[in-house]
Amino acid sequence: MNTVIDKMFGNIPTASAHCDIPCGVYDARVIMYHAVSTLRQIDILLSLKDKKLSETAFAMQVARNTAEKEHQAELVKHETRVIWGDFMKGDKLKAHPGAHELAHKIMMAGSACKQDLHREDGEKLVALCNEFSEMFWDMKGIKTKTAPCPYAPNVDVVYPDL
Amino acid sequence: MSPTLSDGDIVITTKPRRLRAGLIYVVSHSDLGPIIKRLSGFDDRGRAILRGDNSQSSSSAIMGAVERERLTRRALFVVGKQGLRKL
Repeated sequence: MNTVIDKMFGNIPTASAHCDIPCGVYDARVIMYHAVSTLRQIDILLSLKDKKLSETAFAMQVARNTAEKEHQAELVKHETRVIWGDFMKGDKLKAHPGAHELAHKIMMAGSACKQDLHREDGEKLVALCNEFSEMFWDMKGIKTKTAPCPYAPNVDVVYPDL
Repeated sequence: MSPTLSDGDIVITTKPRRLRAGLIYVVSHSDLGPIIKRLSGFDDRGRAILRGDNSQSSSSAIMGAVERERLTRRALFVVGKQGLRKL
């Protein structure tokens, strides 16, 4: 029927009744948790040489922490994609046109953390995620504060000032 | 908006003169894009509160309070599989 009417009157605009139940629950603190965890895994890996472990223990520890580092970095990328793709849209982007570029930078920084073992890569990931978090809370109209996370690696983290 | 509206229904609309709770409007939503919902009422700042017609609909909390000017059209009639109905 749409096709017949379309032919008669031209294209009819579509309005969604929107019943796919988006949960509406988004929180950038999840991204920060995984970004800090990635940096922590990098620190642990860089400190393993000083622990005088047996060759076997060293290999096992490297394997475990490397797997966890890559897992945490991938979670940063996943959670960022969800907030960027599902939450940062419409009018919110007008006030923050840099959201797309920032999300892309986080993808690149997350991949760098997975590929190699440089502390500066982890620091960069946390810094970009802090920027993303600040943008996210601003879109929600909530002020933020920056404070060192109360656990290693004790880096500055953006928190919502609730 | 089931059972009032079904996927693919044609809705005939008009420019709203006055917004009235209980009527169905096309809304240019800032997050969700163009949606069609029933006007539930207004919040204490005069913004429109929307709701769907079934329990599976996006909740009013998710859709949030919407500025009045975003309610761009009022739904008058629906043309669906059961023919023409007044809304």
